[in-house]
Amino acid sequence: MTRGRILVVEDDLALAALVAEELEASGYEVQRAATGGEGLGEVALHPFDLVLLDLNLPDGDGLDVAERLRDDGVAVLMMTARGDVESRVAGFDAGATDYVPKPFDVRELVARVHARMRERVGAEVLRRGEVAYEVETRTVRADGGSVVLPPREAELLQLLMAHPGRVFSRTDIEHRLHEGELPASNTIQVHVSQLRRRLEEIGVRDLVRTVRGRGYTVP
Amino acid sequence: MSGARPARPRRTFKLRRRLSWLALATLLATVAVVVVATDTAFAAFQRRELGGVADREVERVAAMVRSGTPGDRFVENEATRLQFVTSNGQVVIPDAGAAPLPAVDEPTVHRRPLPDLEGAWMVAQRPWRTPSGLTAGTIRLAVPMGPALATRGALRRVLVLTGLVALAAGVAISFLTLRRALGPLQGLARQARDVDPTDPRLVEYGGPADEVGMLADGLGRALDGIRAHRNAERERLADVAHELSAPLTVITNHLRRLDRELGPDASHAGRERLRAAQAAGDELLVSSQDLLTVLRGDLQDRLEWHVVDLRTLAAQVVSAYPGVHLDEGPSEASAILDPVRTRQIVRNLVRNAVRAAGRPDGVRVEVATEADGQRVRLVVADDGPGVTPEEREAVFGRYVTGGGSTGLGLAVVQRLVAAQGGTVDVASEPGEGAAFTVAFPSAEAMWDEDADEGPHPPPTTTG
Repeated sequence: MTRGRILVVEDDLALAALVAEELEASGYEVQRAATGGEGLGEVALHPFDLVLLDLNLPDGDGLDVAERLRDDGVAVLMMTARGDVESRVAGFDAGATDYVPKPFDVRELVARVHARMRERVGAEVLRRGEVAYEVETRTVRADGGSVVLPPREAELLQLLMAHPGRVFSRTDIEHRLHEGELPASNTIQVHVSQLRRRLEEIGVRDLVRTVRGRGYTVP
Repeated sequence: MSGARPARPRRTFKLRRRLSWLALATLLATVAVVVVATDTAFAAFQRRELGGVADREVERVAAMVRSGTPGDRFVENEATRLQFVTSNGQVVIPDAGAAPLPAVDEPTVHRRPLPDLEGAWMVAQRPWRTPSGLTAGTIRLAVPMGPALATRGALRRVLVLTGLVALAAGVAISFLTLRRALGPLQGLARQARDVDPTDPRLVEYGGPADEVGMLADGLGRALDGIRAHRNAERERLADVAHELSAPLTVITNHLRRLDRELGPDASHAGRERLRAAQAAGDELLVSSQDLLTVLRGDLQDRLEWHVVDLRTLAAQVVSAYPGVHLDEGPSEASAILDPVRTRQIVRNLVRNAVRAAGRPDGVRVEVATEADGQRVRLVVADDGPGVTPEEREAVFGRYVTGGGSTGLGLAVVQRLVAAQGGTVDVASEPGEGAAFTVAFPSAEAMWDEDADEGPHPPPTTTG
């Protein structure tokens, strides 16, 4: 059984081949597309867990493709040489959930894909120390008992636990959890404090931590 | 290494001073000429007037004498002196034997015309004709100039006073005018002097749209053009660096895979060659990243924060430089950093140190958490030639390097460290190596203990 199906949309064929090879070596099933149109065609034909999308494509802007993919409900990880913040924000709005800036070390890219897939694929258990989180049932288990989380808090914890050590700013979280729709500015804060309260009920403290001026993380 | 640029001589604004002096001199000359001319003209007028008075008076007396009808008094003004002088110079009236007034052809000013007369007098004379037609001598009349001179003095005072006021007003007006006219020029001159060669631009020009405005406009446009041209070139170069990095990524990653797949039966020499190629490719990739960081002028890539253990990260980097000694310290040294950028920092420092030392085993990397737990520290020390205090200032400048190559490394280090809220210092004695210390706030210092308090907006990291 493969770890998931991934589509690589990249016009640099050598780079695409390399990425595909590495991902296949890590146990993924990989399809390749050289243009945005080709990519959209592939997505229409087969289900994919994740699309690795180059921002600069020969037949137009990768942002448009990302938007179409979002409408189809496909997760997108963008590879971009355009590192500027504006195009990133535009990318988030267009439906990309994460970025890998070019040039990248392929090992880093694969690690990023693993994390992204952990976030996606259900029926998995994410562990951090004594805490285990069952994605499918939204259940947190620890020595002090277990608790079932409401959907939003579950998404939040899944995101943080899928990327241990990574610090997500409030904006990052908003973009990922609400997919474009902008919540009231303190919603994330409210979710975090409710999540912490629930975790404390089963004796889990300091799992979700606040980094001053940066965001939240599961260290 | 180029020495520090010589200090610029302080410029005084001489144009304004010269124009001020010129204005002052012109005003002074004008006022002086007006005062002197008015005074002179008035004096001449007074002499003419008084001469006329004296002349008419003596004529009146002479006419009375000629007609033989002398009145009670020849002279109506007590202050005047009248003399009848015979042809041989004897005064007969008022007192015989007195000193005569000087003889004049036309009304003339004399000082002390008589021994008992103080000051200046206007003297006029007429022939003394008897009623019988005989010329007996001359009738002479002296009119005092005193009252006239007093008037002239008063006028002079008024003139000088008015002149001084005019001068003061003129100086003030020209000072203000000059300041208004030259102020913008001064500002422009200062800006032109202080133009940053790395980012040439005029900050502002608030003056009027006169010649100075035109100058500011032209200068601003020229600088904008230079900047645009420069930026375009940088952008082109950055594009090239980008273009290079994609195939380089492919090459190095394929080499790495190849190395992995060679298996244990590959020849040692073959593996060595493969690793050398891989290292060279990695080096190129790092250089292209450095070049991008410097050329783009800022960190356009938003930093991605992770809880990073500096020890692990340093170990990863050092493993690519066999021979470099790593002292990991006794405990975890975690900080909130961007791992990709931090690896770039450590790699550049280690690379720089290996170059300076000339061999990897002259380099020592040390990771530690400071005693109070608030900061984590990474020290990269080499036993190379070290840097002098003068060089220390420039060591983080672009293109300065301990041993050849592009020298982008340390400039990149400084930029990346600053973008992550850290500090970098170099300690060195010439001949005794150099130690670069990078310090960041520890993760411990970054935890917000007030758990329900949301994070503050993250600081901009794109500047």
